Amino acid sequence: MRSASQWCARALRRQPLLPVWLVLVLALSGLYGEFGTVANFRNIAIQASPLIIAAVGATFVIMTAGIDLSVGSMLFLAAAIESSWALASAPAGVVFAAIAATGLLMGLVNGVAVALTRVPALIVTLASMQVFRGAGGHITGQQNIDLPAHLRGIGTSSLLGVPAPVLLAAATALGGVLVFGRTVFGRYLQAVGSNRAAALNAGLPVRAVTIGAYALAGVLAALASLTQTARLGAVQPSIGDGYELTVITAVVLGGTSLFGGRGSITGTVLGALVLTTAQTGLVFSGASPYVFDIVRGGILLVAVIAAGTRWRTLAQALRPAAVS
Amino acid sequence: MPESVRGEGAVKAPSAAPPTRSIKPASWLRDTARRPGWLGDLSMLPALVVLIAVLSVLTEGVLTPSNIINVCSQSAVVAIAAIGATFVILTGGIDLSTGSVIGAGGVTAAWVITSTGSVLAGAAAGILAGTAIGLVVGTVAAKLPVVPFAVTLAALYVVSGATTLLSHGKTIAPVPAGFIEFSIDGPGGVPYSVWLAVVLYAVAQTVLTRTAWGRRVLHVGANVEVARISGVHVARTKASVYAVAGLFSAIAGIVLTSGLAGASASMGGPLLLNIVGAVVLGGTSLFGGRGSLLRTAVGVLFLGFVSNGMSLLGLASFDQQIITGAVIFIAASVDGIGRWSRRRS
Repeated sequence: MRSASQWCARALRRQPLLPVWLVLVLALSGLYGEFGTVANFRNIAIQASPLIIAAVGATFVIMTAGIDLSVGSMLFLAAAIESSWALASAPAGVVFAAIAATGLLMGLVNGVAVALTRVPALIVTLASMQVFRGAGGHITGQQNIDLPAHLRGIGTSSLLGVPAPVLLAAATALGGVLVFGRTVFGRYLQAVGSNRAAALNAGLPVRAVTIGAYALAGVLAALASLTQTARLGAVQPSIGDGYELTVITAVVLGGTSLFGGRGSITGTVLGALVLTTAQTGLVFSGASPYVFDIVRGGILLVAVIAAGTRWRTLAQALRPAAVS
Repeated sequence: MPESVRGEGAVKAPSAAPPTRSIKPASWLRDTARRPGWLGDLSMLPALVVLIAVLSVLTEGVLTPSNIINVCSQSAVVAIAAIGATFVILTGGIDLSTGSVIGAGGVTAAWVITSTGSVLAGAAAGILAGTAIGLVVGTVAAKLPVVPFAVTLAALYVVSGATTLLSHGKTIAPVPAGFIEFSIDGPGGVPYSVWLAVVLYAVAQTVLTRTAWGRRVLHVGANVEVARISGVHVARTKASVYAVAGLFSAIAGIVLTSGLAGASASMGGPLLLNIVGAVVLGGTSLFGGRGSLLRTAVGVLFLGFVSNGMSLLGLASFDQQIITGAVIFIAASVDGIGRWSRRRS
């Protein structure tokens, strides 16, 4: 019993977001009778899936002390490619491969630009955000395009009662945890993010790791796009608009530092769940969708300030020790 | 950076072979101490001339007076907002909330104008609102241990969400005809909005180069630690820069309201990349400390002619997005390469 409570305490220290999420769920369930139903939780899980997938990718980028503002546009361009292949009535496997390749290509464009030029990641991805969205607009002609049934399969099918998007998100999260904690690439990511100069001096392949992180984020953005469009059943010009804020908020809320080097995939998943739960709660309350803009902006602000403050107290705590 | 003492020649001058004959600019042009500062600020001017030359070959009517006035009046909003963005970037920061502050300033102004009928009261209210938002954003970004871009990203959505809610997602109109005239006509056939931008650039350039505050901004951007040690109140300077950005964004929002004959919360959003892009294109360093308003003015004109040329060539809006993004990235990487090679040498 004692080890169980110790385990709980440790989990709580490592994931302070978990009780926050549970309280949010309980409060909303108490407020709205319809909220606490299995159908609604299932709905929240499906809605959170694309966000979890994209945010896991963004966690890798932010771990390197980088940033990716283009994630929403990557979602849109991948969806646009999907719609153009769908029109050619290609089999689902070919379409999925094409989308994954698109994601990889977009991620490589970002990664190579960040790693090989001295342009800040913020500006690179601000520019590529525009380029990807423009390219997507070029392909779709800014039209709504309905997807054929065989491409919507991911959104509607399920395995043993678990919806396919949720399975995809869970697999992505599990893969992310493994890559992050059990691979050389994961260790290198942490090293590059916490001290780039030291990583360079230690002979780590800093550029390759950076490019890898952005490429991974691109592939996962494409996967998120696939899940999102399958659920919507159509490709709309507004897909991914403002998505970068939701993704970055989920990552920062999960405890990943914007300064790089410190982060957690589990935290990101919890962050995505908190955001989606809050969004669903706002829908239940009948608030205007613009309230969610204010809420997620406010959450990002609070999360960033909280993260920064923790660093400051840590630095203050360490200072006397350093002097003596 | 005194380039003249950093070259190889300066180190091994006595034993060096006689320099190979090549065409070099006059000595006062090479010596950064004697070269007038504004000359370096115009380094993008040749690129602008080439761009205009290429566009003149590709399409008709680029260099007609009416088209030039057209480019200027269409660039006025971006130009004014880019003044504030230049100050922020000079400190090494970035303001992603510019677009939504344009919306907030414009909507506030339009709301006061439609309810009181006074354009002056509306403009004052809009400017006050924009400056207040900028001051709050700047104080949070500068005084708390946070990443500035995250604060301004959060502010982008909080401000646009709040503005949309308060305006019920509608366009605030109608505004008086005289106010609309502001962006259409003016002395010499050039709209008042363009004259306003010119005056604001002159004022801002003077403030940057001739006032203590301007020097502090450059100082903080060049090296925060040195600035702090030499007694500059870094946090206050950084916060003030975002407030100034809010001020100019609001003015830009009011000019945009006059141009669109009404204001909506979302009207400024798409302008963000062009605003930051104009600053970068002009050659102001994204790492801070190096740049000027003169540079930004050239950058604004460059982007103005790029989009004007694309429209004359009949490119669709999404193709224009692709090219604008690519142009801005290339300009930014040129700045990055320049910095990299200087560090290498």
